[in-house]
Amino acid sequence: MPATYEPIATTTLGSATATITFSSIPATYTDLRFVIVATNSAGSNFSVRVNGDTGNNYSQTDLSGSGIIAGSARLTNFGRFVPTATGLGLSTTIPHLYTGDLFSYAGSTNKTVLFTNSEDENGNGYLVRLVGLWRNTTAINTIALISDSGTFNIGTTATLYGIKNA
Amino acid sequence: MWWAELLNSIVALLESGAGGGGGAFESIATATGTGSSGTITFSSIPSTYTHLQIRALTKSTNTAGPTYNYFIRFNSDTTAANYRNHYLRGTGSAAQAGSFDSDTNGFVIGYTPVARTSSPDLTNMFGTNIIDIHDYASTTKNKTVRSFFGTELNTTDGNSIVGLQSGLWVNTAAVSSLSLFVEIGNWTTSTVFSLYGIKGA
Repeated sequence: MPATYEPIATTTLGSATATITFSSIPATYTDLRFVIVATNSAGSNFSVRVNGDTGNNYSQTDLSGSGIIAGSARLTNFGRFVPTATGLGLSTTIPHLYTGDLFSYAGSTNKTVLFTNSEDENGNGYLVRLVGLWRNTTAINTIALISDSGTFNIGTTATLYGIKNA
Repeated sequence: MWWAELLNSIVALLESGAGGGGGAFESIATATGTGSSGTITFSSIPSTYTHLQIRALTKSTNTAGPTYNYFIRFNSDTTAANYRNHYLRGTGSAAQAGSFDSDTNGFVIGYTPVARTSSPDLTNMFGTNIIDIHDYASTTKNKTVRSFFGTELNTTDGNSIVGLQSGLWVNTAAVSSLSLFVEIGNWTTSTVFSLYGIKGA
């Protein structure tokens, strides 16, 4: 029986890579959480896909603050989740923090995800909170974190946790 | 008698760490909707943790909507003036900030979609929430609550929503029970609230 909150897998990049994948995710938890602290060679955004689905089955609504203005935007019928701030994205040198909470990931309903995004570069930055929907009732067994361009730099760390209710 | 002491030790071990696992983050209880009640209650909450967290997947049985508020109330306290809250939320086109009037139901803690099957079809779509209740067992502090919630419906009508709520229960009593009320309709049988306890060092 799994613990209530435990790491499933973790990776710290020893070589740059464009994609970090958590695969063969066991179905024994209630929710999943991933945490990634990353930089990117091209300063690009990164995307999240589940189960290798490249179809337009993703949507999201966000709430953002840039230190100057608060805003909200959405993506509907999209090909991926985009947790990075549209106006900034990853840095080539300053680590940004992102989390994703995937609720009832092994259940038989569409999958809802809450993302957090913390991008501060000492004079420039974004704080974003997002809700996402993957319109598919299949259990999630793979999560891919994908650089939109360039690669995740060496030292980028990503961990997947399982959370089990009573 | 040695065998009685051994049995007592075994029982103590089985009764410790309610729910699953051990460590700082433990599951306390899980409650699911019945389809015939708009209220879910966690009672007899042990005071042995430092903070509480509720993780929720929600839906109302109502078929209009498409989304409604839901509330949290502590210790059956129905004094409206004891509840205060503020929110920051995004609708996909605008960021909004504000507060809700005091309510005998408690304060608004999240939003949930309804069981609507057309225009839009919300089948298999749910609201989500992570609710943190800090220092819930303190008897000298009013209680502070934070929630991070979201409902995503893949629509452009502004009914998808993501946001943050902060709440204050003006009462120094330890939280021993909490109830979650949906504004309209009942909680569906697929609604799940999971209560976790977080221990300090």
